[in-house]
Order: sequence, then structure tokens, then C-alpha cells
Amino acid sequence: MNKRQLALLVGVVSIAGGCHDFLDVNNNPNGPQSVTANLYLPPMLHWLVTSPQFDGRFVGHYAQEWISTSANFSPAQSWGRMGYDAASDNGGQQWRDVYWSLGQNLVDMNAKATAEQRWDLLGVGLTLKAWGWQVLTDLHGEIIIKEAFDQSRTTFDYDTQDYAYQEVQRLLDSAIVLLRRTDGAVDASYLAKGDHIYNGNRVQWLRFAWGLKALVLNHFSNKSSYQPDSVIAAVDSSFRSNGDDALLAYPATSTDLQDYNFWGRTRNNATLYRQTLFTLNLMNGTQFGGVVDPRMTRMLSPSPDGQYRGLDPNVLGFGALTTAQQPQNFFGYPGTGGLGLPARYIFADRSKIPVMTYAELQFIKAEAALRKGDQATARTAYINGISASIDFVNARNLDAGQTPTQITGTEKTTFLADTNIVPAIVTRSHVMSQKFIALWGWGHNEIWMDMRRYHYTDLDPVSGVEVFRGFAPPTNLFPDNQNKVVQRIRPRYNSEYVWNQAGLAAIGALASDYHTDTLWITKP
Amino acid sequence: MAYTYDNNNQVFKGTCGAISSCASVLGPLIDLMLWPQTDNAKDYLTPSGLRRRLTGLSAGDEQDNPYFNINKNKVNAKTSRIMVNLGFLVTPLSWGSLKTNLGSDSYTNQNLVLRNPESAAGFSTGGVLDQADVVTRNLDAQTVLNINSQALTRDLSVSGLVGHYISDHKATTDAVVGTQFLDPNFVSINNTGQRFPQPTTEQRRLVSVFGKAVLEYRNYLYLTVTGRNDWTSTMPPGAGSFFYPSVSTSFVFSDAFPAIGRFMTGKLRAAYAEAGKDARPYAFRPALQFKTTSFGGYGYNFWGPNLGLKPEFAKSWEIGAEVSFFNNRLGLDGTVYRKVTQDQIVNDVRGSYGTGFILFNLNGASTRARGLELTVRGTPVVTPNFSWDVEANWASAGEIVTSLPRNIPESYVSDTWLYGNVRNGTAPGQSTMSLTGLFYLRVASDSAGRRGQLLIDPTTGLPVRSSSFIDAGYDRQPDFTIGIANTLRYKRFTLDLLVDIRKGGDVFDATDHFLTTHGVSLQTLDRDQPRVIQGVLRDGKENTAHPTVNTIVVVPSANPAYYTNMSEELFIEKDINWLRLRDVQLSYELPEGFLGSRHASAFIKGTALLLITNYTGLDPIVNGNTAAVGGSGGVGIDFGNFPMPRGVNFGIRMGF
Repeated sequence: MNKRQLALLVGVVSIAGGCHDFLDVNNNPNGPQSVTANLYLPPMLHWLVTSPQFDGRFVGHYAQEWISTSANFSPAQSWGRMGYDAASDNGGQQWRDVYWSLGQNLVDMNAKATAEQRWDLLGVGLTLKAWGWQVLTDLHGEIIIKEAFDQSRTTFDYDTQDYAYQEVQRLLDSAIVLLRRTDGAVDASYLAKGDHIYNGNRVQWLRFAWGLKALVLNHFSNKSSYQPDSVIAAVDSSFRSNGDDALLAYPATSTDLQDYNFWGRTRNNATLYRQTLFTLNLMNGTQFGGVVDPRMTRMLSPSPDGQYRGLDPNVLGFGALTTAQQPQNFFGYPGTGGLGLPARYIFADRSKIPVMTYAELQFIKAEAALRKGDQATARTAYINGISASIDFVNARNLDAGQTPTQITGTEKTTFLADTNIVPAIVTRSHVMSQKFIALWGWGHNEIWMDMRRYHYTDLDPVSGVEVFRGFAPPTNLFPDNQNKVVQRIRPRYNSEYVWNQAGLAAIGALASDYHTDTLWITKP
Repeated sequence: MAYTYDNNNQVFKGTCGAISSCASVLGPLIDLMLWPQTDNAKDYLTPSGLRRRLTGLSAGDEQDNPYFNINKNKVNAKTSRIMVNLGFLVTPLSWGSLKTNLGSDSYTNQNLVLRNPESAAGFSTGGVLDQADVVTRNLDAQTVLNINSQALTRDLSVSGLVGHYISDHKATTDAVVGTQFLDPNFVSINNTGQRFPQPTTEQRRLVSVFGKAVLEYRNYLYLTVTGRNDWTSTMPPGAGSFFYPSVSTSFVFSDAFPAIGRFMTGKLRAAYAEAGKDARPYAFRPALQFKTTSFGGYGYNFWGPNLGLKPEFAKSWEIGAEVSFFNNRLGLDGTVYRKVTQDQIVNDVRGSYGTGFILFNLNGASTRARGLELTVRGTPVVTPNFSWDVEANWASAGEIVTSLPRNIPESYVSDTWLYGNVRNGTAPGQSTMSLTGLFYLRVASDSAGRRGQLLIDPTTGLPVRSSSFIDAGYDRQPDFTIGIANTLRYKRFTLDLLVDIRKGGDVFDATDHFLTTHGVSLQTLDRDQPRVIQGVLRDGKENTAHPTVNTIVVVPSANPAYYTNMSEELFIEKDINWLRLRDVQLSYELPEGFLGSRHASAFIKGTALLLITNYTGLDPIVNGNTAAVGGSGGVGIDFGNFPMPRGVNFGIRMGF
């Protein structure tokens, strides 16, 4: 081989090698493929709090928290009649966020946290995982767990709710062990970079995990395996005060409005919604011996004439109410008004929204104690719950320059001293109705689970009063219901009804009345 | 070297998903049709220069005044483009030549979308200014060694080429969106209170080698063989190299048989070709995305991984013939073709969210296309003073889907889902131009001869709509199209006529559906008239031998769902034909030397003067969005589209 041939060969080989480098330009320059573990956390925590609100538009119609005045359309004519929207993803937001917004992100974050021995972050991760399966199974019943996050699959088998509940408890038990640890790379400042709920406070996350466990265990109330002592013990390990409330702030600085409070006027989701008669009657004295709840004027919205009214879901729109009598929107303005103006309660663009509160857990404890027959514990927890709820309403009305005044100490004491509110013997009818008020507007998942556990209209075994005082399902149920009340939401349409029909067929979800199938957890 | 500058202003076209809440995204045409006829819409501002409003609704819920929409909202694109091509040709040897072309195509594209803070679309965010400046630079280099024809024998010769191609295409987009305008009318990002920049870069590189050989026998029989190998940057490791060949032949039989050649010329051709294609950049590996939810952070984008992605291949066959008679005064040309695409890469395929993702880019779609084209051209009359040339082109084409990846039941182009619940969805066995939607449910069994009759809800008396997207045989593909061009010359006058005919193909008149659901279509005039919708009740007996015939009386004015819940199906017009006088031009050749010109002519030209069609909307030649959408796009989806403008031009052409 002479020199000229050698040079040619070198040239050809280097061009071939260069060709490989030349073509190596397919690493996406617009987003990384992996980031530090704590950077996965902010979007997941955003959806932990916000996703239930998206679906709350519809669950809130089932539970009669509110009704839309867009009378001839969804949601009033579908969800308002305990139905659903055909071929729509409405009611599938938590499905989207558990499988996608958490999904592979959570898998990756937990793997990194494990490898780096960040037990606090891993504990938060497992709590999030448990929360995801928990809310999904409570909404939909059977869900995809074992086969989830397998990108080679085209169809997915559903797992039973029994399995989902076992998995949630297993995950929470692991999270509780991890969140107690202080060894390894546990680091509050590292966690705080992604955690804007507790700012990296491991102990508060531990209480959160216990709180979620209490909520999960309490859902077994219709089963013989129900253990009220475990529920009470879990509550006692959880939140100590409103200071532990799991709250997310909304900075409201993004041009796409993604970081605005979902209920704020700018997001325009609740503008046409009005409080129902059921909700109003729990607070205006109708259901509690004529005692007007001081929270009514701070949570609900008055009509232009200053009176508080609620809408009957069996009547279209505002019915016969005159303009001056029609309840204003939750921002406190007639019609669609209120953009850019001070709002009320949790309906401001920058109001914080909770995912779990101290008051909620105290009501869970009160219910468990009543079921156990421990009146003293139940009564104390019940009073704590109402008291904490009043403080919560006051705190929220200070979040974003809202218009309602603060509930004074005197108002609170007078209210709690009234035997119509806190009698000597507290019943489930007191506890569950007051719990509804405390959770109204944000705790949709738990409110609806409570209603299904009590079959919507169960009577209190002691007093014979309806547990949810004054609640009645709509008289004109959605046609597909075949005169049955709603028990579950159908899995997300554009995930399952379009692409996973085989999985749906196996659990009977193709039936047009699938949403009236009773959940395993609420059965004896 | 060429430089072009293009400045394009448009109006909003409008999309409308949920019928009940689409006031904010309408185009001015729909705005105009909904505007009360008793009000002078031209008067769109108050004396203080604000948007004049008619209702007490929030500004975001009241539809825009059409004039306000046109004057205050803006869609603008400016393109500044410079193309440079440099060619070198060296002929070092007698048997061939070496040619290199270096090309640079660089352009900036400045896009602006303005939603005025007072408009329905901009109100909730205090105005929206969307700007995207796209800087594209495409570099290409190609070197070809041509080998001149070499005689192998006295009758047989060969020629060919080998070549090399390399390209580097890169686009950098600087996009920014601003909201919360300070001054409502000053258009600048500097005038916005909240801003979100989002730059993106996209790059693709390709290297190819190719070769071609042409065998020629006695100047009437030709055989051409080609081969090409591409290496692309966009495929997973190991899948980036792919080869595809072609072979074609032609036979000039009028030269082969002089006896035939005396009264006609004729040629037969046949070809087979394969073509490979790569994926778009960054298609197979998921990437994280900065999230705009509370406190930022990262999360996966919609697309899941597919490390098994491979190039797609198309195979096509074509046979054709061309003949001419009477010294080329009558010519015929016919082509029939067939094309099969396999392992087609389908972008943005959905799946169960159980995968952890929402979209995938997958191989696996197969399509089969067929087509037939016939052209007749003739010169029936030639005299010194008068001549008539005519050319008619008849074409029929169609493409069906033969399989979809992972056996997914439906694939759809989401950008065609621009109105209600109808979209360009397709499934195996269906046309690529079919429409799927939430159409009416119908009797499935043949019993009692009622197959296809509507199923009626026993409680409301209204037809039941499917709760999932179904096919109902709608296809926007025409049976055939004909284009006829005539040129008549008489002394100094020339008359050109271009006629366009189409037969078949469905068009969705979404505008009419919109107007009907809003009670402003003429067909809602009989709203007080009681009626019974023909069909059978969905009471469990609908598919038996004795279905219950519907007798429920509906009065639309008392039950507005009669209109508001009407399926879009009723507004898909089947088999739309048209005859369109696309262009007419009469020109007169001015005397030589007119104003010192070498040649000059005066003309009058009319466009879109005449349209005869069975379409009831404005103009069936519509596209609901732009050609950039991909697939068959929004062709035949008519929502708030303006018809083809009718125009008359006069002019003088001069050459010096």
C-alpha cells in the first residue's frame, strides 16, 4: 500500500467516523431527560391539591355542593342528575394526573431518592403514590395498578378495589417508616426546594401520611373488619393543629393561568355555579334548630338583596327567583362578574387550597369514636373539628384580600355553646353534616365517599335524623342510571373507552349504567 | 440567489369544541352571522373608544362584534427569505462530469397573534400577545458524478451517475407569550405584565449516497435503475441507515415500429419505486418539560418512549401510456398507480394512560393508495385567424388504511377536530379522508327492514347519539375531478377559460350546525311545529322483529335539545359536486411598438365568477385549517370559512 492509498484510506475512515458524530444531533435540546430528584416534586404536589378540584366540578354536583346555572347543558343536566358526559374526559382529571403527571415522574423520582438514600423524599414519594391509588379507586373502583407504567402494553387489566386498598396501606406503612428516618441523605433544605406545602418539614409529612392512613382505614366503616381504634390512633399520630393543614399556594403569575387557583374568577370554572339548597340549609339554621352558622356569610354567597339562598337541583337554572333574589357567584358578584375584583373564601385567584386539614381528621376521629361507642372522645373531636373549621375559614379569607369579615371570637364561642350545634350527646348526623360544611368547596373526594358510605340518605341509628341532613338525590335521574344513584365515575374516556376496551369489558365497565355499580369498599 | 419578503395578515378562523362555550374563539364570519340584524355592527366602538357591548354578560362570554374582531385582533406572519445556490461543474474527462451544488435556504418567520384585552378571546387574561420568531437555516450539499452515455454494442448504450448528498436543517424558535396588557392598544411584549418565553430548537441531519444507471436500446427502449442509502440523525441507534431502490422502463413503440410511427407517436412506461422515510427529530425518547403549575419544576412531556422506532417504507407501481395523432393535434395520456406504505410512522398516537404517557410515535400504520389519471389535449380548430386548444384532465384517487399500530381502534388528526364532535378519524378499511363523530345510533339488525333507522330515546323522543367516535361511511374523497382548460384565439383576441368539475366527496357544513344550534338558521323557523322523529325506540326491542316505532311528539321550541343536541351528522352533506368557472381571461394583443414596447397586451380577467353546486353552504372548496396540519387536514370541514373571493382584474402587460 503506497502512501497515497494510505492517505485515502485514512480519509475514508475519518469521514465514516465523522459521519457518526455528524448525525449525533438527536438529543432533545428543549428539555432534559433527567433532573435532580427534588425537581420532579413541584408539579406533582400541584396536582395532589389541584387535580381533585378539577373533578370537583362534577363530584360537587353529585354531592350537591353546588349546581351549574347553565341549565340546558352539562354539568347541570348530566352530573347534576347523577349522570356523566358521554365521550368526554370530564371527571377524568385525577386519572390523567395519577397516571401521567405523577406516573413515570414519580417512578423516576423514587428510584433516584432510593439510590441517593433521601428517605424523606422517598417517604413523600410513597405517600404520593398511595394518595394516587386512593383517590382513583374511590372515584372509579377497579383501576390499573399492577400493569401500570408499562410502555410496551396496549391493553391493561384492572385490579380490584380490595387490592387497591391493600396497596395503599402497604405504601403508607413504608412511607411512615421512611419519614421517621433521619439517617442517610435526609435533608430538609434539599426537600424544601421542591416542597412548597411543608417546605421540607419531614415531621409534617409524617403526620400527613398518618392522616391519609386514618382516612383510608375509616372508609372500611361498612365492613366487619372495621377497627375504630386504629382510625383514632392514626388520627392522633397525624395533624396537631391547623398549622399542619396541607395547603398549596397559587402564585398566579403564569401566562397560561396554570398556577392560578382553579376556582378563581380568572380560571372561570365556577363562574356559573351556585350553592345548593342542601348546602345552604345546613348553615342557615334549617337543619340545626334555627342556629345560623357564622361560616355561612363567609363561605357562601348572598343574593343582591342581601339574603342567602340556595338552588334546587330539580329546578332549571335560577327557577322563579327574581334578579335581586338570584344568588351571586362565589366571588360575590351577580352573573359572571368579578374578574380582577376581590373575591370570597377559597374562590380568589390566590386563595390557598388544602388537600387535607386538621378539622377533617378530627371529624374522622369523631365518627370512629361514635362507632366505637366512645361519646366523650367523639364529642371532643367533633368540637375540635368545628372550631378548627371556623379558624380555617378565617385564615382562608385572609389569603388574598377577600371581602368577607373575620368570624369573631364571640361568634365562635356562642355557636359552639349552642346545644343545637353541640348537644350533650353527639350523633353521626351531627358529625357528618358538620364535616360536609368543613370540606365544602374543596374536599370533594372525601365528601362523596362519605355520602356513598351512608348510601346518601341513611338515617342516624340513634336520633333517626338523616346523616346528611336534608339531602335528597335529584328526582329526575340521568337516563342511563335506570333509576339508580351514582356510585362511581367511569374511567377516563380518552384513555380507556377509546384505547382499552378489552380491559373495560373484563370489569363490566362498558355497560351504560356502570357508574351506578356499588363500590367494594362501601359494601358490608 | 433569490430574496423574498412576504407579509400576510389574516383574520381568526375560529374553532369550537363545546358548543355551549365557544364565544371566545369565533372568527368574524360567525360573529357577523350571530350579530343581531337590528343592530348596526359597523358601529363597534363606544364614543370613548371602548368595545361597544350589547349584553350584560362578561366581556369574555359575549361574542365579539365582527368589526371589532377584525380591527382589534390580529394574525400576522412575515417571512424574509434568502436562497443561495452555488454550482460547480468540472468536466475532467471525456466520459463524464462532476457537479457540486451547495445550497443555503435561510429564512426568518415572524408570527404574531394578538387578542385584544377587550375582546372575548383576550378578556380573561387582560389581552394575549403571542410572538414566535423562527430562524431557519437549511444547508444542503450534493455532488454528482455523471457518466456520459457509453456504447456497449452498436444498439445498446449505458449512462449513469453516482452521487452524495448531505443536509443540515435547523430551526430555532424564540417564542414568547405576554398577557395583562398595560395600555390596551399598544402592541408590544414590552406592554405586557406577565410574560412567558419558550425557545425551542429543532435539528435534523441527513447523509445519502445514490446511484443511477440508464440502459438504452436503439433510442426507443429505456431501462433505469436507481438505488439510494440514507443515514439520518432522527432514528434510534442502529435504525438510522436504510436503502431503497427503483426501476423504471419506457418503450417508444412508434419509434420501434416505423409503420405505426407514420400516423401516430406513442410511448408506454412502467415503474416500480421504493422510498424510505425517517421520523421527526426527538421522536423516540421522552423528555422532561418545565411546568408552569405552582412553583415550576419538571415533568414528562406527553410523549412516551419508543426505542424500537424504525423507518417507514412506501412501495409504488405505475403504468402509463401516451399517444398522439394528427401531428400532435390530439393527444392522450393515461396513468394508473398504486402505492403501499408500510410501517408508517404515526405521530402522536394515543393509548391508555396506564402507560404513564399520553402520546406515542409508533410504526405500524399501513395504507394503500390507488389512482387513475387521464389527460386529453387537442387542437380541434387551427386557421390563420382562429384556433381552439383544449386540455382536459380527469383524475380519480383514493387511499385507505389497511392497519393501525398496536391494533388501536381509531387514529385521528387532532387538528381536524375543530368543531363539535367530528374529526378526521380513520380505521382499517376506511378512507384516510373519512370522518368519525358522535353520530346517531341506528338499528343494527335487518329484521323488519329497519336497518339504519334512528334509535330514539324513549323519555325524550330525540335520537340517541353514540357516546364514542364512530364511522358512518362519510368520506371527503371525491370520486373524480376534471379540469378543463380552453384557449380560443381570434385574430388579436385570446380567450382562456378554466373550468373545474368535481364529483362526489362529503363536506361538513359546521357553520350551518352552529347557526342551527344557536337558533339563527332558517331551518329553525318551524320551531313551534310539533313533529315525530322517524325511528324506533331504544327500549331493548330495537333489534328484534317487533321494534317499537317512535310516536313521541317533540316541539323544538319547548325542547331546545332538539336543535342544541342535534348530531353534526345531519350537516355532513354527502356527494358534493361542483362545476366552477375558476378563471376567465380575455386578452387583446396591442399593436407592435405600443408605447415603445416589444409586445403588449391588455386583458380582463375574472376569477370564481360562476359556481354550480349541490352544496348548501357557502363554498365547498374549504379547508378548516391550513395545509400544514398533515394528512388530509381540514379539507371539507367548513366552519366560518370565507368562500373563494370573486374577482375581476383589468390590466396591460408590456415587454420591452
